[in-house]
Amino acid sequence: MKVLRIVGAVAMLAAVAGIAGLHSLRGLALGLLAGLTCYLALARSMARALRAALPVLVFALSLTAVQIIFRMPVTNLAVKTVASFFFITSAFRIYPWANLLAGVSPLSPLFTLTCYLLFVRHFSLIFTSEAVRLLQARSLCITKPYGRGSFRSLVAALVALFERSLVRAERFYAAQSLRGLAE
Amino acid sequence: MKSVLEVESLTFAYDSAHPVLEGITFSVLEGECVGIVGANGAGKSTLLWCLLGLLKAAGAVRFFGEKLHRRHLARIGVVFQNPEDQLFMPRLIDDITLPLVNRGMSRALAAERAMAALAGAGLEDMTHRPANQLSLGERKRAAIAAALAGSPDLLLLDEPTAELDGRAVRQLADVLKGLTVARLIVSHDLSFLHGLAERIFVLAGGRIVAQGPTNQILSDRGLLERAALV
Repeated sequence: MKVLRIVGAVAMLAAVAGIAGLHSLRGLALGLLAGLTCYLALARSMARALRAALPVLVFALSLTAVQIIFRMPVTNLAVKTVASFFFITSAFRIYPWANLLAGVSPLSPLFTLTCYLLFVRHFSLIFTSEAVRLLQARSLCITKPYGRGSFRSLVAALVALFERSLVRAERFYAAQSLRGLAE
Repeated sequence: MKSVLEVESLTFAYDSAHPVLEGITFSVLEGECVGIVGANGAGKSTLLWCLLGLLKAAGAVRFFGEKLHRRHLARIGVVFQNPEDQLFMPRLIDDITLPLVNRGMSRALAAERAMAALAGAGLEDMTHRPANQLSLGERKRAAIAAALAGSPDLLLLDEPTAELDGRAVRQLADVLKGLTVARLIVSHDLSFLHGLAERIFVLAGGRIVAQGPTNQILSDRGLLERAALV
């Protein structure tokens, strides 16, 4: 079963490489459709899957909008981005990447890469929770959501978020360093 | 009994005009539980960071008589105030085995050690859950289990009871009481240290202003007031 999962995940990653090399619009449309099918088929909940894809879709639409507004050539980068997202997410649904750590040698570069991705994921969670706390605190201080005072408090909250993130990053690094993960 | 940790004339300053720590001297013996108490801003966490070499301080820190070196850190377990700084893996057991495997231990032995450490912390039913799904008290105990899985000679704990409710504090104290490893607990929670520590050092304004058996220190109301602890 494990081998099948690995083969499936590798096939998905190969599809990403294939998408990157595609130029024909028809091929890209088919790739996008295939990616979307895999993505939705492997998702636990349709609504959650669509919500998770939203930031990537917004990014792709913004990219295309910028190209149109500034009269630049409209490339197929946005389509490739979305299709790659579908395939990469599917690959890691088939074989969760965090599990790689238990299956590879600590001397392998894959071990270091997985550790690094776990650090990034963990710190993103810390960053998000700090941001939510600060925005909640700010919302208790302001009387109206827009205006001068509101803007100033938002700037102050962002500065505080930067400082807190630095402190948390420093502590996280120190803790992992002491656990020998920097060796 | 041998000294596990000896600290002599430790001095640290972020800027030379205002030293945060000045002339700190103390020791921790084998199997002993020592408390360092101080009000907020007294320099407790800075002291821990200096002991571990994370901040460069003047003075001497010796581990079993040798100058503390990076290679000694594998024999020191550290529990940070916020367990989120330590636990980040998808499963608790992975969090505990990772440093062991990374230091060359076989996966089977590391898993065995991790299970034993989690059982010691009363978390044997939670091995496959991520740390962020546990309560704060459970996460603190998990962080202690992670530190103990490496069989350290010294356990350092930074504010272990911060933000914990009464029951979680009691459970944490039970875990720590059952240990035979030397422990250095930095805290401002006097009632927590009362049943745990054998000796207490009082830190105020970056200096150790008093030291002695726990009962003697905690019964000196004037001293605790001067140190802003009550």
